[in-house]
Amino acid sequence: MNKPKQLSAFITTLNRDCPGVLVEVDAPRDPEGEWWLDVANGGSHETVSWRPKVGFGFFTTDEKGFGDRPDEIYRKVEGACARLCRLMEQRRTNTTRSMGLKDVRRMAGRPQAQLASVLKTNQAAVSRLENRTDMYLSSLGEYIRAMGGQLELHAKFKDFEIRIDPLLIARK
Amino acid sequence: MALTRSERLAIFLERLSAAPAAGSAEEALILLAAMLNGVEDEFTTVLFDLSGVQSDGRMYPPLPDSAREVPGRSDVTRYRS
Repeated sequence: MNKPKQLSAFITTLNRDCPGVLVEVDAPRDPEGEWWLDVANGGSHETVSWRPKVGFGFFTTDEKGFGDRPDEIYRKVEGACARLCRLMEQRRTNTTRSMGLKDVRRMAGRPQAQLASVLKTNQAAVSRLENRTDMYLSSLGEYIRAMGGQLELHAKFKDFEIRIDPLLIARK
Repeated sequence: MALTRSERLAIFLERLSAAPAAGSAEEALILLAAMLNGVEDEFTTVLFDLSGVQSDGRMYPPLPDSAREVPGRSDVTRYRS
């Protein structure tokens, strides 16, 4: 079966950006189904899921499971390759694989100065915000919005799940 | 009682091993799904929801679109999920 164009582009870009990686493609029976890529680099290994209407999915936790969905999704080849190279580097150097605010900003391709301008503040304030261990949800929401994203907050209980509006959290 | 994914996986595998053998591929898939969904219903607070594309913390049985051919074995279907 021929590989879909986006998958071929991903492999080409990955070989360019992370030289030395070996990629094995596990094709589904139905080309519209879930494709898997096994990416090896030295001693490390990453699994990538790809669905035509969803994009590239990465698994950043190492806890053993079965039938998990990806915890990060990337719709475009360049972003997916950049994140995968970073994940492999993080595994090699044994550093945390989850993303902090600074990582998210870099993925969104927004320099601190640009973000500061959108937030009507200065670069130092953005830097301080990124290094905080705690902050108001409203500040986090503004930060994400300034990058073109949307902050979502969900609460899950045994019998129900709800979406909480971060802006209405203090409503009486 | 909420358990970690690894703990739930161990329970699922234990229950699957103890279950009566399936008589066909279709039965095996149904059995696997019933066992996994049972464990997840029992030990997580996450509701079964196939509409999402991102992890919700729950493990899901293989979907039809994850079926794969096995070279040289037209009688076998492999699932990856």
